Amino acid sequence: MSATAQLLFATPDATLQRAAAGDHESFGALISEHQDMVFSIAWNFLHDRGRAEEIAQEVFLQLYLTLGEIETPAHLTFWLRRVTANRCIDESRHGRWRIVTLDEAGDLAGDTDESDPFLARKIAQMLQRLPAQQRLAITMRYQEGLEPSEIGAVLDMPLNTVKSHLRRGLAALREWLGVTS
Amino acid sequence: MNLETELNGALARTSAPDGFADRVLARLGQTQAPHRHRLTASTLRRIAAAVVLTAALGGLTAHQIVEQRRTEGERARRELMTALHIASAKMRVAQRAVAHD
Repeated sequence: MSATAQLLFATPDATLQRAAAGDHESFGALISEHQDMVFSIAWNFLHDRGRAEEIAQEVFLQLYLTLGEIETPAHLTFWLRRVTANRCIDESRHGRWRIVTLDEAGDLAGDTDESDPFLARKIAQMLQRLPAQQRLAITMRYQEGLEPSEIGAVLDMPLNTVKSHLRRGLAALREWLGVTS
Repeated sequence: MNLETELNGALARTSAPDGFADRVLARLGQTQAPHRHRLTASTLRRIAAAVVLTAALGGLTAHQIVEQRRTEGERARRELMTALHIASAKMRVAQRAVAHD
């Protein structure tokens, strides 16, 4: 853990303490504060709103049962990212997420003009073709803005593995989207 | 096109569905609320009873083992004494025979 992370982890939080003591209103505030992050990780991974919400709800229910072990807001954010990522991996292993077929992906990859208003949607959908670990690494990098070392901590993988996932994932996306750089 | 810039936009956080927090809180009603593991009086009583029972069974077993070993030792001692008596009698007979000659 970096010095910055240790400093953040040492910051106490009254809302967190009240929620851990069983105050539902405080727990609701924690959900409201973090729901977009948790839902977005699941959404960017699965591209299925129903399943993404289901996973996000399960993550917060698990959090409720674990609140006594959460020490600081930074710890909470770290915990939520990690548990959401693990839930997404579990979901992909059970094969319940929506699979983008090669035909569908081919149609999506047709036009990569920068002015294309649907480019962001195409990129997000192309992401579904990547292996789960690459998809999570890219989601943590570009959704959450994490550095590779932070991604390694969240996903519990070595730094070089994270860099490899990012490099391979980006290369695959470039190829599928017809990006030359 | 700069792919990394586009990824930042494509994967930007999106809002959770309306009413998300309310739905999570509603599900909490169906969930037990063990924020921290607390030892209740009944749990402590169960643990104490289990410890006493385990100790009693362990003591009984140990006593049976000691008693069995003591019985076996006693039998071996008696058999040894019998063997020594027989050997001693035989020696006396032999000694008398040698003295008579």
